[in-house]
Amino acid sequence: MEKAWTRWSTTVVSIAVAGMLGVGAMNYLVDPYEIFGTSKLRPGVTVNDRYGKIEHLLANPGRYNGLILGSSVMGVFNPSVADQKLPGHRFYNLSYFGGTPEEALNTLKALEAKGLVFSDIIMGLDAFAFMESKEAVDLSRRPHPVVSGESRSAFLLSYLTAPSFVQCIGKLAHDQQEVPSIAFDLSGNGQYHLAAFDREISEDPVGFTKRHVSDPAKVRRLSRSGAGLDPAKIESFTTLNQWLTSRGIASRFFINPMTSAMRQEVGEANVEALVRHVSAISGGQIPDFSHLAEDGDATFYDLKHIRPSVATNILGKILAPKSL
Amino acid sequence: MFFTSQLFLFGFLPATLAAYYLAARVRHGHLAQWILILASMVFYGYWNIPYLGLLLCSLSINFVVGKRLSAKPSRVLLSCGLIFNLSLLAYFKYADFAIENFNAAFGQDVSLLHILLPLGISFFTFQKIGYLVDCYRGLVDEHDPRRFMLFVLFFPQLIAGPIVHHAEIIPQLKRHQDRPVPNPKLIAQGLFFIVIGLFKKVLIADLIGAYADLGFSRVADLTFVDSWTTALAYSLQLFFDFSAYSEIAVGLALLFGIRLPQNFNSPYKATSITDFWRRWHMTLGAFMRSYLYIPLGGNKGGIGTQMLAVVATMVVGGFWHGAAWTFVAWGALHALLLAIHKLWIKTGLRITPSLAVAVTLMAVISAWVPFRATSIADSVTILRVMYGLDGIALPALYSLISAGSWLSTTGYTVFHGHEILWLLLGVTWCLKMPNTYELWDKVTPSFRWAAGTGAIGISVALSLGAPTSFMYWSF
Repeated sequence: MEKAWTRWSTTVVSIAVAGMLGVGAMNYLVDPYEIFGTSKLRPGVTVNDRYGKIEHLLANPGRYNGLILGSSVMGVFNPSVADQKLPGHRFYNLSYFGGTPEEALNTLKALEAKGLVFSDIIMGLDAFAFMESKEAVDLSRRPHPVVSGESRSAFLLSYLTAPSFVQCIGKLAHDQQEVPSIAFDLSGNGQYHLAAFDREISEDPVGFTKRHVSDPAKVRRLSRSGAGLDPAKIESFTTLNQWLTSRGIASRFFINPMTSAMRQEVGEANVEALVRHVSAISGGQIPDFSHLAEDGDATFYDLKHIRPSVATNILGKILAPKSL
Repeated sequence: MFFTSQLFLFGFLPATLAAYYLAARVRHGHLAQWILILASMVFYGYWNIPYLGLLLCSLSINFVVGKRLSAKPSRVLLSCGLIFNLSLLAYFKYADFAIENFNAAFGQDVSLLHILLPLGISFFTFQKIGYLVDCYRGLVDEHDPRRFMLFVLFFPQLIAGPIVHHAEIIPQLKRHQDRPVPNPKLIAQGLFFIVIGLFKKVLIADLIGAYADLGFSRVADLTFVDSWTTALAYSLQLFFDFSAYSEIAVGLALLFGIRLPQNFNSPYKATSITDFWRRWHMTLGAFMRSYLYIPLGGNKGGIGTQMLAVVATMVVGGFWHGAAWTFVAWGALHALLLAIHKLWIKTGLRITPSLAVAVTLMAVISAWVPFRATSIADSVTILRVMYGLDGIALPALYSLISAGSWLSTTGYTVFHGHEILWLLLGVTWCLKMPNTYELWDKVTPSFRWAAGTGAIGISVALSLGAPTSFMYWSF
């Protein structure tokens, strides 16, 4: 009987270990978060932009002297537009999905510790990001080990054993799409492109807006939280601004455009309070683009994200000579 | 180091098992036990080295005090030992709570201490209190420092229990040093418990937890179905999370030939609130019964004494879970339910077992609301909505049901409405399916069972690695 139980345990362990090895192999070969650089497939929607962008900057010290920071809203800002407006500058788009001022500061500190210094930053602020919220726990948003301070081997091991079956399938499906939903230019300028959306817009601009920007079902899913601004998030912006000032880094902050649904969700009073707070903290009236355009025109991709043309328009305004 | 982390599963555990079995194979039981002690210190110290020092210091003091109490029982020395343990717990766990309440009551602005809570302090404090009291009562005649260290530090139970009693563990450790290699059936049982525990944690509790988090973060927006979805989700999450932790702990201990006590016995199948407390967090219940409820009079006194003992025990039990009034409210609510049940028994009335299970389950689910809510006010809001005191509006999904009835529908809901159906399936599972212990009784050493267990292991492997934590680690 004892032998039978030994055989039983051996079988269970063998199957489980085979499963683990299978997961490791799948993660390594499909690489859904683009960590190992081993996959020839088109990157999917779960790319860890935090890791990829920092890897690129660390591999190219001195190549850039300006950074575009912020959340995914900032991901469509084309650094070359800023380069043209500010001659002598070479910007990289270091915005993150869900990026916050606190994370921007952690990143800048980590890069400084690695000898990477920057003279300018451009950062759009999202009013909704200053509300109380839970931090997203997601492997596609895990900070680079240089930023988080965790060991590189632990970081890589976690991606090797990550629960990413769905993400792997998603990447395989994305590879088969005629037009990619999203394409990151991590090793170029850091920007992302929503190619599938762009095609949909070119084919049916009015229908696109109805489906993605003003769809009542999507608007209803907003949280209607009624909460106020989170003092801790205002404080983290203050700390970022102080750090930038202490380093003599020229910083240009502004409030990102918002759809009317998002403005309603955040609350006009909160948007106004945010403008007041960040203006006082940064020592000047902060450009407020929260009312830049109405939903019906070619402003937004969805309830939160603006289109590249709007981003270029904003860069034109904040980098115009009179604003310097 | 979480039991579900890669570092634990692929690094710490295999290394500890290898070192342990190497020592055990050469018939060196003492060395094997020292390896377990060292591994347990690494396990705890990996989280915070200074707090490992605190743990070892507290352990040493308790050992010395316990030995003296056994040699010469002294009420003064016992009081000193209890005050020492409770002071540590009070300082690390309740200091900021006391300051907050002092500030609120007297309009002061005393700064909070923001002390990091040592992992597992609530658990190992109770464990050591039990040890000292039993030393005083003359129930402990074994004072071997190695076995005492392993009794306290043994990593499977160190952080979140089961709260082990010295009488359950130390005699095992004494036998264990002569036969440190467990028999193959124990190892198989350990593997089975670990696989099932991991499955319950990563594939059930963590997924359901997302619903609970969403609901409790939007209390003001909850409608009738939302509020039940939220309460059910949390009830299931807590059960699957904590019972999973306990089963993994039991499984890990079995791999080293040590049996830890059962902590859950299908609690949602309870036919009364008293029965619930015999099935839920059984080791905490046993501790509270032995060291608080019975010394306070227990069932021996009149109904008044019994009620007072119940209230005191449950309020302390609630407060033990966390420094917040919501935990006290949860404890008080359970005390009320237990008191009602005692009075109900006295009436001699009876209801059918299935109705008894349903009533008990509703009461338990309702009581979990203050346990999880961030404030008493939030708890009241959720409970009001759950019981229709603010009207009953169903999600649009249920328009067929509401059509032509007094019920209304609303498009403004936190959940779509189908989530509650999945959660009710989960409740049905809890009510109908055998628990892990009952399931193990059915397991035979056949390939079919091994392959099935291995397949569950693969499903766990496909889901491991997401950042997560066990809920009871924070208590």
